[in-house]
Amino acid sequence: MPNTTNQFQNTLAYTSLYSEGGAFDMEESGVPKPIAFDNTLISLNKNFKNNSFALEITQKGAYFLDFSFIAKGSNGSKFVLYWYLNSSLLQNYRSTFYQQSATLEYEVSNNFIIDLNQYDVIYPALIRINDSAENLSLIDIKLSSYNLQQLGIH
Amino acid sequence: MAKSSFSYQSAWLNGYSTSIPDVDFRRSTDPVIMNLDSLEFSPVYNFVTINNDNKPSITPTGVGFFLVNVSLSTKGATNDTIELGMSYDGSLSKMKLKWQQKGGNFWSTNYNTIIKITTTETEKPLQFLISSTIQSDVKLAITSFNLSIIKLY
Repeated sequence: MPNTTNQFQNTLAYTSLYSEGGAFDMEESGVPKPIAFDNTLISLNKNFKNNSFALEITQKGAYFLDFSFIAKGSNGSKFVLYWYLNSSLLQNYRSTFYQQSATLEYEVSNNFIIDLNQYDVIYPALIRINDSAENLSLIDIKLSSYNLQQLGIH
Repeated sequence: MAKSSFSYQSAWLNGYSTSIPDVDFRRSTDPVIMNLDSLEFSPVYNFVTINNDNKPSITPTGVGFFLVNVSLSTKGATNDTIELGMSYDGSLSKMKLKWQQKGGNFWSTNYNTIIKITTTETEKPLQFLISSTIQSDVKLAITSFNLSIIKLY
């Protein structure tokens, strides 16, 4: 059972974020780099705050998150999509993908449910496992989430 | 937990594993039930994750319509066309996901469907089945598997 004392809050919480994306420069930092594109960001929030694709939670609850983008370029590279929670890397919920060809585009997505507390900040990040001279581009990036512990969906 | 008329309506579950056993298609291309014994569940609300024999089992405590999402990363099974499906209520779902391993590199795929569950018997849990079009010499490795289920109604 989720760790909340107020099981069904009379408060809706949802978010839908979209960005056209673009080239994603991955410096050799050795740690996953947060995915952030501000220039074309469109957001629809209710009881969420966001800084690019970093979500700040305003209502404690169990949240469903759904994230996707189109990956292009970086021929022959392997990537892992991770999630950070309050700057700590989550080992769960990761997805691994490979860019077979620089000319082809592949959809990458994952989704999961996670218990979150007020003021928690959660955001996706990418790391490249092997070296590549080519940049990866992330296109049509979408992130949506909603609180399962709210009235109106059960 | 506060009692309310909504208490028994909602249900959700998240399960995650990076240690699902490899799937060996050398003997048969028939669908095999995925071994989900290594799944760790959190959060869980109004689902049973273990049966009377103390074995992992995914069963809701109430019947209804459920949104099922699976995110998985795979490698191996060189150029096989892989098919992922599920069973519930003791029968096979018509919803299938097909993809090709394209050289056996890492691929990220997703399976999403809405199902109607009419029983809460732990003997008829949700199961996932996976098959290949060819008897590949290379096993299919499932490097990550995330399952989320949300009761819609």
